[in-house]
Amino acid sequence: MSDVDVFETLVQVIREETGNSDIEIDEDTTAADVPGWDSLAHVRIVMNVEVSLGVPIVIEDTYVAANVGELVRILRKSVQASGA
Amino acid sequence: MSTSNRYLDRLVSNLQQDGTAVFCRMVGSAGVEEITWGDFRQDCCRFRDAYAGAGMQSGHLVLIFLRHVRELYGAFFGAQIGGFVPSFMPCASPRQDPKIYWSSHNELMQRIKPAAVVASRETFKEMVEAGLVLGSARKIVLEDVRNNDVARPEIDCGHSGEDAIGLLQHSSGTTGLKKGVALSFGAIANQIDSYGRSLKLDGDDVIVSWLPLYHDMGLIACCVLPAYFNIPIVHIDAFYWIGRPAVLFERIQRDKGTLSWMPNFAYEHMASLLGRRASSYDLSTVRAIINCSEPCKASTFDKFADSFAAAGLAKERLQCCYAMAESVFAATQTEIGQLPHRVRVSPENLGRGQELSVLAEGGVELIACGKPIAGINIEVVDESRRPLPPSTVGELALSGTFLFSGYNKEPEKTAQQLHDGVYYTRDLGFIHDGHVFVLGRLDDMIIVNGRNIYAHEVESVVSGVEGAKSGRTLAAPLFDERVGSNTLLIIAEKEPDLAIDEDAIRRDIMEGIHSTFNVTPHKIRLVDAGWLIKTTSGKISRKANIQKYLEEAAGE
Repeated sequence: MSDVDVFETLVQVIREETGNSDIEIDEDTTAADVPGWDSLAHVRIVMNVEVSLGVPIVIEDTYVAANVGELVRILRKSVQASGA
Repeated sequence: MSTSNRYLDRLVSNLQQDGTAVFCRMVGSAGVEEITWGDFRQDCCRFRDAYAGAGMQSGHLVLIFLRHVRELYGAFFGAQIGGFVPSFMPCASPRQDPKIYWSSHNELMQRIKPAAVVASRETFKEMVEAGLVLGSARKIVLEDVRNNDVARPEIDCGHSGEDAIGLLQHSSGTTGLKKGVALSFGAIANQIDSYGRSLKLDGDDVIVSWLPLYHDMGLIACCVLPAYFNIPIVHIDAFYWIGRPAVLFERIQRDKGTLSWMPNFAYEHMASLLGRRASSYDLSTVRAIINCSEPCKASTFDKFADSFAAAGLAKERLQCCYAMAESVFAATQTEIGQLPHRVRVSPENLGRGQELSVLAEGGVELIACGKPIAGINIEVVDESRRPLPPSTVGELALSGTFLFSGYNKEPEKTAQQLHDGVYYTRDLGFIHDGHVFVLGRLDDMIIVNGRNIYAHEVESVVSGVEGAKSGRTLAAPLFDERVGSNTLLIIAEKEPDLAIDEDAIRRDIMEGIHSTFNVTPHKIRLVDAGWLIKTTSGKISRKANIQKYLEEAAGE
């Protein structure tokens, strides 16, 4: 699974979980740029990405991500660690 | 003034018991810390003596700004047994800018002038760096008190009678405008005694909670009540629970938890995230998980019940109560062990003054918050505060033995809502077959994830954002089924004739609201000047503009 696959999965989940179906999201997007991306939404986003990718993710690891690009890199590590 | 004090007598008696029994387990990212009654007693003595040593006098107010540490309890109850008045206050959340957060406390500090502030050394440093002026308040540093020897291990009930103020709750409004709800020891004892009977407490109860103690549900149901009735507490750090919601069920299973409280949004959150793993939990020890602090939704109840049936959670274990700081905590409670009462009504009949039309099917299904508990009377009143007949929608008004004494240093606000022994709640609801149903707010308070904020305060923050037209903004609730709570909608007119970066305006609105209220808006709509509809009296119409927004959103 490539960085692009993870990015596309993440963007789709962010749009669904925050109710912003057409918001533009790129690697520099932060939670503060997306209405509705609060701490509860963050947990829903990560847990739904976990289901979509089929790999376990330690949510505490994701809190250090400053933007979507960093979050993708953290998720990608989880994918690699799982061998998927 | 009476000198007997049932609350302090009971607390002191509990503190003098066998010191090895568990008082509380503190659960957080660092693990589990067990606090025995002996540890708790020593913490109470340390803080009582620290307050007295700092020169505090009987009745003086102490504000407690502590994160998830065991001394939360000693700082609070140590103040009460020393004759001082404690009040828990929230610290800045990890996502809030500490400088903005703490500097916004200056107005509150100047108004209420606490005699002392308890905080960690790090928090005091943040306060100073943010320019927060503590004035004459004594600084009680957590780390100093923690290292103190217990010079006087004896505990007595002191001289506070039941009319004396036992605590303050600062539960709603922004930092500067928070109202301190003053509760007497007598009111606290009356409510807890009554509520304990409604809950059918027994010797096997264990309370498991992630609720912060600066909120009435966390403070009374999960701190004061268990200390009074000697019920073990499992206290989970709220920030830890947000990231790992499963920890609530893991602790219920491990500690044989029987009682827990949480707002509707948390019911929804738990069901959405953990429902698919339900069979991995054992919730068979639970007697009640009580939905409170925002209107309970029948659909959320059903989703939660269906999600966790496989965990051994019977549907009748899900309960509701109607609670507010002004009545200490719960004014109603559904019957423990019974399914909460429900009605189907026509949505056209839910306006103020209208009589309900109960339907056999269709309409909207509402879930009751139970009947008033012993010691409180609830009436439904019209705009002139005259009683309305049963099954008619109006303002809920409370009278009885456990109302608050007033808002601290706010006589005008007190007089507006507490009149001749009746508290007018500004909550809209009705009573049907003796069961109380709560529909929402009559004022502009918006309840988002159990947090109370006022629309006019949010609008004031938005008006201050460069590019947003001052005074031409609207903050409104939008109920989101997926979240199980209101979300926050912002509509702001743009300044005309300016080169405007709309993304920058949205970002500034998001940051301003989050820093001030610790709430994230879910929708920010920037519109051209003149979009917002005004009423005939020139005010921005909440109802008409929400309707306009929804119609436009549906057409997009």
